[in-house]
Amino acid sequence: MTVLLQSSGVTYVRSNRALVNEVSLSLCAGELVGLVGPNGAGKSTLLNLLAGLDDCNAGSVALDQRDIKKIPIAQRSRLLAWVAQSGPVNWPLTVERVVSLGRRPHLSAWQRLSAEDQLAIDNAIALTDCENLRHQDATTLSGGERTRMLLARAIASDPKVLLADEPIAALDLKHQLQTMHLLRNFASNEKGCLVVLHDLSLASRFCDRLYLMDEGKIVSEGIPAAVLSQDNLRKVYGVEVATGGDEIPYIVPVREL
Amino acid sequence: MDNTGIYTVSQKQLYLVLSIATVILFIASVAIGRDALPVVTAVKDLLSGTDSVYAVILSQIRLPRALIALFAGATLGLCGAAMQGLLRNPLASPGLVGSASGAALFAVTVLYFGNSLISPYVLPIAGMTGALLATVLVYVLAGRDASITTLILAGVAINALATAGMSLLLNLAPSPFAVRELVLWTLGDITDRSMRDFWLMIPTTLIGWLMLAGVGGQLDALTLGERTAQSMGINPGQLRWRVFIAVSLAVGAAVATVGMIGFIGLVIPHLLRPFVSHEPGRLLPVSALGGACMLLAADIGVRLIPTDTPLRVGVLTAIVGAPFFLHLIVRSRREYL
Repeated sequence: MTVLLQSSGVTYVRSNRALVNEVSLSLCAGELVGLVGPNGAGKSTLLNLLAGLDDCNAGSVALDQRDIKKIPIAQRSRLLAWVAQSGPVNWPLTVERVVSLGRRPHLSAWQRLSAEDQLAIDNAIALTDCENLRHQDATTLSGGERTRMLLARAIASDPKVLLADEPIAALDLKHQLQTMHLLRNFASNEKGCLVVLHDLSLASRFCDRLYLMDEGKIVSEGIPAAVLSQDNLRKVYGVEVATGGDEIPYIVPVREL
Repeated sequence: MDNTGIYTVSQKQLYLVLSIATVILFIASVAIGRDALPVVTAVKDLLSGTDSVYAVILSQIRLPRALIALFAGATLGLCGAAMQGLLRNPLASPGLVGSASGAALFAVTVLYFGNSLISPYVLPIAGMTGALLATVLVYVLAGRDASITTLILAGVAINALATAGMSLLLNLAPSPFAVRELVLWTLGDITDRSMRDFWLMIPTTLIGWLMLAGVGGQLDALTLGERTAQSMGINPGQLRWRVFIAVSLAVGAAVATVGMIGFIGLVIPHLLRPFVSHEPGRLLPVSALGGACMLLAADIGVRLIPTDTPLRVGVLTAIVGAPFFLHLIVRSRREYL
């Protein structure tokens, strides 16, 4: 399997605190990998480092087998797309226009959208179920609709690696499922997706592998069933959980420890 | 805002209307004055080298005035749109970068010491120097990796410093006449300008414009926030400085030539935004045309409005612009509260 994204010993220190502490992980082509852990574990910070938005204090990130710091920013934006947890939309653009911004990495400053670009935009809008929102003002969307639109923007840029920060946190049940299927399909043979999730049931059902993070460190990694063991969850989240289901696993918090 | 898609004007129509308006206002600006100028005759005389009074009025009075209004107005509109796009705020204006007040301070200093009498080049060159110095000072104050907030604070500090300097000069002015001259200059005015003033203003103006050409797509991406824009291949730090320096150069040149003319950079982008579906990139060229129209129109206005003392063009734009600014604040309060 081709490794698309790899971090080795990545550390990020702010105010004398290691928010991310010697994290080594990898994302291969065809994989949907979940990043789980309690609030403040450093998941989003790690994602920013992996996206090349921040520079780590130690360690390195390799995108497509090259040091991410050495990849020109324009080229990086064609290889990797990053979806923020709750990205702002500052002007009342239409949803279609916001999604079309995803094509920017492929266009020069004066180039207009080609038929091929429009196809990618339409495809992304269809995949994220944004068709009925297409001509709506993006600033009037609900939290969930906005997340879907921003995900569509990322999909439209046709990246090899997709990093999504809690893309289903604000979604209703139907759109949670839809988005997980979308990410699953995205991670086809050529591509990979690393997604931060809080819903452990969906994480264990859809992801190939999981990384469990706590206090800036990866404390467990591997197949979902192994990572989300009673023992691990007790240690990291400090809760007792009820688990069950073979084909469709579920994990429900029961009580605090 | 619910006005997305209400204005179904095509881009071609919008450019056509604004271009035609600019051309008409430009011709009107050449034709209208204390004495009406037969434009066609004047142009013919000028081109054929006939030494008629019309040709002289055209080449030495009307043409520089109209050209300066055209370019300074376009600068103010364009830079307003660029600042609003960069700061993602409809209330941002070119004055925020501090170069306008820097230019004004240096120009007023030159007037105060009477240096403008030495050579006609002194005043505009001093203004330009002031604008550049203010820009450099903002750069030094804010640092290379400045955030938007730091940049604005640095701009505000420079503005305060320049205002303090101007107040000092006014305070120490030897005679009421000197005070009057200084104050009137800051009000903004395009009368009695020559082609020399125009040519002096052009280089930095064009450098500023060229630096802003091509940032449209980056400003569009910035709509989704700096981080997302960064992930889309944009270097936000570089973009900030590019826009800041471009605006400083162009606005500095405009202020050095015509004095302080407010509100064009605020009002024009805001009025035109709905016609370009609120896209910050497409707003840039449109606002340049709109700004040119507004300053040409205001400069014609001051000639047509009969007052005992000649009305200054900066006063007219402020009188029209300030109520509009209030309207904006009231409306944004309704929207965001």
